[in-house]
Amino acid sequence: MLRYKEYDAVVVGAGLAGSMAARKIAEAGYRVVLVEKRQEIGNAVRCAEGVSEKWLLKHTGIKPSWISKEIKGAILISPSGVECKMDFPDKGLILERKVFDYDLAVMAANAGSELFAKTAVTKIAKISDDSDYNYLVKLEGFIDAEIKTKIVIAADGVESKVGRMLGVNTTVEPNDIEFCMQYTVNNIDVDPDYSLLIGGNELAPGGYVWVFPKGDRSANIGLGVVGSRCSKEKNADYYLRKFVKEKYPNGTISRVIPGADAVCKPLTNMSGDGFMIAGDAARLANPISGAGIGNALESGAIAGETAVLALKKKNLSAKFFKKYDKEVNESVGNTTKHFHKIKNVFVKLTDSDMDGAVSVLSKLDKKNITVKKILEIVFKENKTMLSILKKIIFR
Amino acid sequence: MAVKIDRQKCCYCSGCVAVCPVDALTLRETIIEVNENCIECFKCVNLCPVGAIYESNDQSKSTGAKNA
Repeated sequence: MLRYKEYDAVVVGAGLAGSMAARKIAEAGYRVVLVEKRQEIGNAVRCAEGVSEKWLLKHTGIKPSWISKEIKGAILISPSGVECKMDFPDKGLILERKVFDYDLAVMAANAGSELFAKTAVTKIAKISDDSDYNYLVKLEGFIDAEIKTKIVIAADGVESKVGRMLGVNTTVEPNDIEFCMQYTVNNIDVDPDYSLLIGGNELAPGGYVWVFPKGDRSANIGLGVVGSRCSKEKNADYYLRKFVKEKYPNGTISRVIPGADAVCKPLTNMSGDGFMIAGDAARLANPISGAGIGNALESGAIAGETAVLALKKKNLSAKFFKKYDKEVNESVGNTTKHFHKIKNVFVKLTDSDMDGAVSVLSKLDKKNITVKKILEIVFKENKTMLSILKKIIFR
Repeated sequence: MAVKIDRQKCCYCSGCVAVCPVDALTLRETIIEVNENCIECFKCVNLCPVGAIYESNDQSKSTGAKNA
């Protein structure tokens, strides 16, 4: 099944980052194999499935089968029920991740990448310096083999085990990760054009509740709780059950989707000798919103392009791959770092802080408002928070 | 004490894997495995979004359903 014993690149994880990277490398004509440890790519979904249209236009194009709903914006709702409707600058899409992920992996395969589902990477060993190949990679599952590769791209999602195999500490602290639960709820009344984002320390401590319309009578309804405020009894599922029971008592549940969202800084070192780490595995999800799709596509594409360049120049050194860190940081990493600092303040907001902030926001002109602007307004409501924020931004 | 996974509850999201400080947890398909690196810090027990991880006196290596 496996065509070769030696590869230019092995990409671990056929999610969005991995499939983008593998496609770029295959398009340049190099030997690449993309492995996914799950038996079905895209399944099970671990995502709220919202993304700005701009990322798809940039990286994948748009197919109707990938989209379950288009939305215009979001309605922020404060703990006491103050509402603020905002339109997104770009169209918002609620995806069908199961179809989207699958198709993206197939696009990589059609470009010439080998692709194997139900194949896990269980071990990575460094090969001595005088070889053309950097790593010996052990595959187990549908494919059982040991292959040599010049480059490893780790795109194995939030668990980020491959990074650890390569010597990078990817462990996340509980105060830097949101534990989430989401149900796809049917037979309910939803606003078809707007997602709802609801704050409140009773509803979702250190996180928020989202309602993303998925169809005319269904929605992805979920919430995140910051790890440091989770307990065995009061876990993410506990809070979501309570919320859905109260607000959507007649809703039926067609999908149960738990997940974890690292809301930390991106990894300080996203690359090294012959390897790069991309997407959620590189801790590139947005620490405020938890959104990870756009950053995964972007970092996956950059990893693929950097791999191609490294292979062309025959330079696989850690120094060369620093180029990857630099480009990812310039593109999405620095914003992620900035949002991480703001997140550390956000998780401390009281319910009355949130009420005041949404109330102020609702009175403003919201055309093309950015997340940054919103946050500045949010924190202006609270003098202590503002001074903390100023220290963060202007230090 | 040992860390055990209730497989009837676990939805294999792998969040526990991300927080494990000693790389003792591995997800393969629908199964979370706990290896001997575990230092019993029980971070994963408190964080699991569905309460599927529990402390147990049973030291035997099992990832089966609770009370199974």
